[in-house]
Amino acid sequence: MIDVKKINYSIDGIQILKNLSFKFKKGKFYGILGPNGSGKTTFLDILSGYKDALDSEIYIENKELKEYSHLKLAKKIAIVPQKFDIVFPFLVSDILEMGRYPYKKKFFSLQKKDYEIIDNVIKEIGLEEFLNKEITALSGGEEQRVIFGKALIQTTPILFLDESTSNLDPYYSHTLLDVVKKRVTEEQTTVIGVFHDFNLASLYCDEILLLEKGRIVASGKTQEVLNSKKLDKVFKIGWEKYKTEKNTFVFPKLGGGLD
Amino acid sequence: MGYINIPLKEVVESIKGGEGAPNWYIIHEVRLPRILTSILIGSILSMCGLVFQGVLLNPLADPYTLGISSGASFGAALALVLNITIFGIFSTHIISFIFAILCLTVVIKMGSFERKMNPTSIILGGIIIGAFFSAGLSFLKYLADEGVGAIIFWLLGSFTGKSWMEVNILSAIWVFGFVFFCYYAEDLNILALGEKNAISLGINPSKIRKTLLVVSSILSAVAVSTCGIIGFVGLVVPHLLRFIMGTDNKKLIIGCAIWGGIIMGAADNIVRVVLPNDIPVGVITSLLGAPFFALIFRKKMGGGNLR
Repeated sequence: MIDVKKINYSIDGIQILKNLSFKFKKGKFYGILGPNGSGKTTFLDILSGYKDALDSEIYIENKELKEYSHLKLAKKIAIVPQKFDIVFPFLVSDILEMGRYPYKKKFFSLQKKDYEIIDNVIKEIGLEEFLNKEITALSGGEEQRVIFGKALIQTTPILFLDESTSNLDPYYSHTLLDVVKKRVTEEQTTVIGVFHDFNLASLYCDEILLLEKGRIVASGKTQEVLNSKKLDKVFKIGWEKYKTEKNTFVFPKLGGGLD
Repeated sequence: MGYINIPLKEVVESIKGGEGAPNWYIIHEVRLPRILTSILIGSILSMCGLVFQGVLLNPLADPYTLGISSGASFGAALALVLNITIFGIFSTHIISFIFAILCLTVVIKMGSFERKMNPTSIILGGIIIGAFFSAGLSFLKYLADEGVGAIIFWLLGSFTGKSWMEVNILSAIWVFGFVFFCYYAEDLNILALGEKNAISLGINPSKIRKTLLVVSSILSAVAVSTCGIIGFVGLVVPHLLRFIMGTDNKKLIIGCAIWGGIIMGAADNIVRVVLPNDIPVGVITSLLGAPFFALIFRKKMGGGNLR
């Protein structure tokens, strides 16, 4: 699905990503964990075409990334960015409709099918009450839900989540990730998500990549990575680990630790 | 309507009657071109203002943000001071246009790094260039001595003495601009979602920014070099329409094209009819526009959003 043969990327002589390579398989939910500045967002930026890494070899559905036009790529990959700033007060419904832009012809309006897709996503993630509101009037979390919706409406085989639930309350974090998980199992969507909440990652991800200083230091089944000693080393703190039948949950041993 | 009073009946007759009718010259060769010029200029400046605001993601942007007004002013002043007439009667216009384009080129060069374009550096570039040419303009005014009146009158912006020649040029430019902006209006909407969202939806923000900036700057440069600097229309009309019509640029571009023309035409009519002397219309647009805008703005600020 996504075959990263190699990525080298540096800004002002400082190497952000070093010889990174990984093969992402179709229909899996991947989580990327790593400390601040380990290159998680840069990694997604390069895969989504936002940043150009000259020294790289990336294949998306067997075609090299550099050969995709912006518009073609928009039909393959949708992204929910970590930061975005919308200056003008667009209506939420307008923004959701923009999710169909890659499929739309200039000067034509959206088709019935497009509206069906939009309506489904609105119902799935509960955006009904915002439709006629201005995006600038929403709270950070509500805004994030709208952008999340826009990405789902794009109906791509690949979805990138860059800390996409960071502003959301637990109810909506789980609602949205449930919807994403459903797409993974039912529609074979490939998802790569950056997480800081390891327990969310533990609940939803099939596999985890652990990043440190621009390298992948561990990768594999979620439970294996979370249980490995590498986690302590990379994050410079010890972790208390609780295993259930299916999942491993981790809590930092800071200060007094847990009782 | 105007300095010489012509009753409505005669106006209708003279339009119907053709060249022989009384006052034909005044209506057909003086007033009509002037009215049409004012409408076209208003429409062009409003559309450009909307595009600048959308492209630079800055509600404070207007057609002059890239410093083209300063460049155009400097060029015009230079032509007036040095009495350059190599292009015949249009020398001042053409030289001011050349300087406006020069400004645009420098600003775009300054604002682009590694083929990517950053709105903030574009705006900063515009400020730098603007300051440079403003200083040059002051210097020229100082040198001009007695000729300073002509420079000042040119700078204030006016529709007096426009001919069919200007109307034709502006119409051609208007048609091109209108079609072009309509084509890109949807992309302008998507630019507003921020760089990453825009790329993820399949557009190339840097390329679209550059194309739109160049086209709208050329349009504004033509406007400035034909009629001088007419302030405020390009900033206010897009904002007023956003209050009324919402944020969708597809609707706004049509709104700006229509209402920009109507508002500018009305402003010029006020100048011609109500005021005793032919005061430059640029003064009126800012004098009336600013308080009016302030009023609406205060009302709308209740929501706390800067639109």
